[in-house]
Amino acid sequence: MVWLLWRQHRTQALATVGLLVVLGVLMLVQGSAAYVYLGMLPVAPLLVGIFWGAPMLSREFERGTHRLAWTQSVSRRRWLLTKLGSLGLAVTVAGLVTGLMVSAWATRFQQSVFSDDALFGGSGVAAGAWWLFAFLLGAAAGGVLRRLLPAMAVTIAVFMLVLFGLLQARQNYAEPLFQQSDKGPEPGAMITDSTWVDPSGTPVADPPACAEADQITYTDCVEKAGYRLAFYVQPQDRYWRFQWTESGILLLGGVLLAAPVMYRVLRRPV
Amino acid sequence: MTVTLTGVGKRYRRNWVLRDCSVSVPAGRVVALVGPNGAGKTTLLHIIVGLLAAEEGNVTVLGHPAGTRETLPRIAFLAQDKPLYDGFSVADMLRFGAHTNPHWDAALATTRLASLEIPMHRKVGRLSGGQRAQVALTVALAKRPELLVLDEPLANLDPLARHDVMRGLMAAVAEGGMTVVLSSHVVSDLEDTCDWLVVLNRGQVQVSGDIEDLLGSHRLLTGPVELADTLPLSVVDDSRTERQATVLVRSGDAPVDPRWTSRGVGLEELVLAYLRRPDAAALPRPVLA
Repeated sequence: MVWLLWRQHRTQALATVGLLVVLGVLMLVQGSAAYVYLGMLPVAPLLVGIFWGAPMLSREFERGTHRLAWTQSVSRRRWLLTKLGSLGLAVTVAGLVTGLMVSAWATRFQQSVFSDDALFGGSGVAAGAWWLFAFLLGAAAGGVLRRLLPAMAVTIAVFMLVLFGLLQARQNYAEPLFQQSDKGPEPGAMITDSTWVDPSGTPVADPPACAEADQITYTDCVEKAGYRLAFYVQPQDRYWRFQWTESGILLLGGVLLAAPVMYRVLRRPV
Repeated sequence: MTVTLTGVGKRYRRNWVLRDCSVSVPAGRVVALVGPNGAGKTTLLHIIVGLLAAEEGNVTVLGHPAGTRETLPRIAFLAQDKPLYDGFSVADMLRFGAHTNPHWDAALATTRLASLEIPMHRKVGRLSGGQRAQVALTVALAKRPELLVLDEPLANLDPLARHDVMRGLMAAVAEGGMTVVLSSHVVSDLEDTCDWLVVLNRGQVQVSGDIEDLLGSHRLLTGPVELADTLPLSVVDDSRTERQATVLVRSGDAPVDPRWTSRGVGLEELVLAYLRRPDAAALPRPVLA
């Protein structure tokens, strides 16, 4: 089936490699200014979901070619597992390559991959996990809906939900540390919350002495009253732990979505 | 027996598309599966090739359950819309066949397409309907199957293309001794080429038998309408006007009133008569093994 895999998916494979090359060149040439594009990194797995995942089954069903593919000498199960396995591997590798490029860029240009939403998901291991998750999501949508456009729409909708959900959840992968320092929060840390503390160190929601102050004088009033700013942070040394946590969640989610759908397709309802 | 269905039932949502279907197809026959639209012909064929799983009953193809590793390499299927990968060239479709089948006859495929003058490098999506049908049929034939199943292969083809497809099919049958099952709702297309008839009506098998035997065992009687109720033979269908009755009967030894004129029946008439009478059946007697 190797020839068939290449022949059916060569366009999207070449396009993906091309985009990775363009991304790499951009990051090299523009240096830290490339951040403008990297802010859009979450779009990459979304594209994988709709162009690699959603068509895998839905195009075959829509065109009726599943009746051609599954009556050759390759069993339905072998066809499905080979497609899932090889395309899944390809997108995971591509995602990891992206992650590697982003991590290298961040190290070179002294950007923090931990404190930034887009960079965290697009670097290290999580990049590969996001790409694989989106692929499995798209494949599951295609297997259930059996038509390409609805499968793409559902993939986009669910992906966005998961993206926003994990962006919020990311701050809570571990119990945040409470830090108060006159120099401000430690560099490169993920800030989850901030609060005022009174001179004895207890967090206070609103310093009572400055309830009357307006927006401009508020900070002066508070500091004069002895209150300081404190932060709840995830320190930077937790980066890899968070990477693996997020990757695990995505992997589990992808498998939970795709496995029942593939099982149903293998039961030969259509 | 090449294909044996026993008590096969298939449901779609809450409707039974096939109910208690039992039919046996002997090897080497060219089977015509006929029936009105919606009778369940496509569903039956999909079950035979393993694309669908039957809810009830058993399907045995070439001695093994349908759709398994043992049967898939020995059968070939041409689905109703003759699916092909539109972005592939004709040559790519042949490579597809070669890479997904162990016993692929590449020489047969290229020779056949060359004799039909179909260009190898043209994209499949740009071929005419007749050419697409021939390419799809070639992909099926080059697999060298023991059982070839075709779902309405002549639909949407112009008369010349229909003739060419049937001729190609018959040539392949003559060479190989394969069993062919093809469905159609146009009986006249199949008359000259098929030797076994299966009539499917509302999800049930009404007729299954050798065509020569079936035609030999039925007669069309025409006579005065007063005699219509007193025929000593088994009646399949009768239609009456005020003065005359036309009755399709199964032949027998009982003597018939000389006022009846009798003639043989054509395949289409036979099929139509059975389709009009869903309660009638002409099924082979069970054979004790």
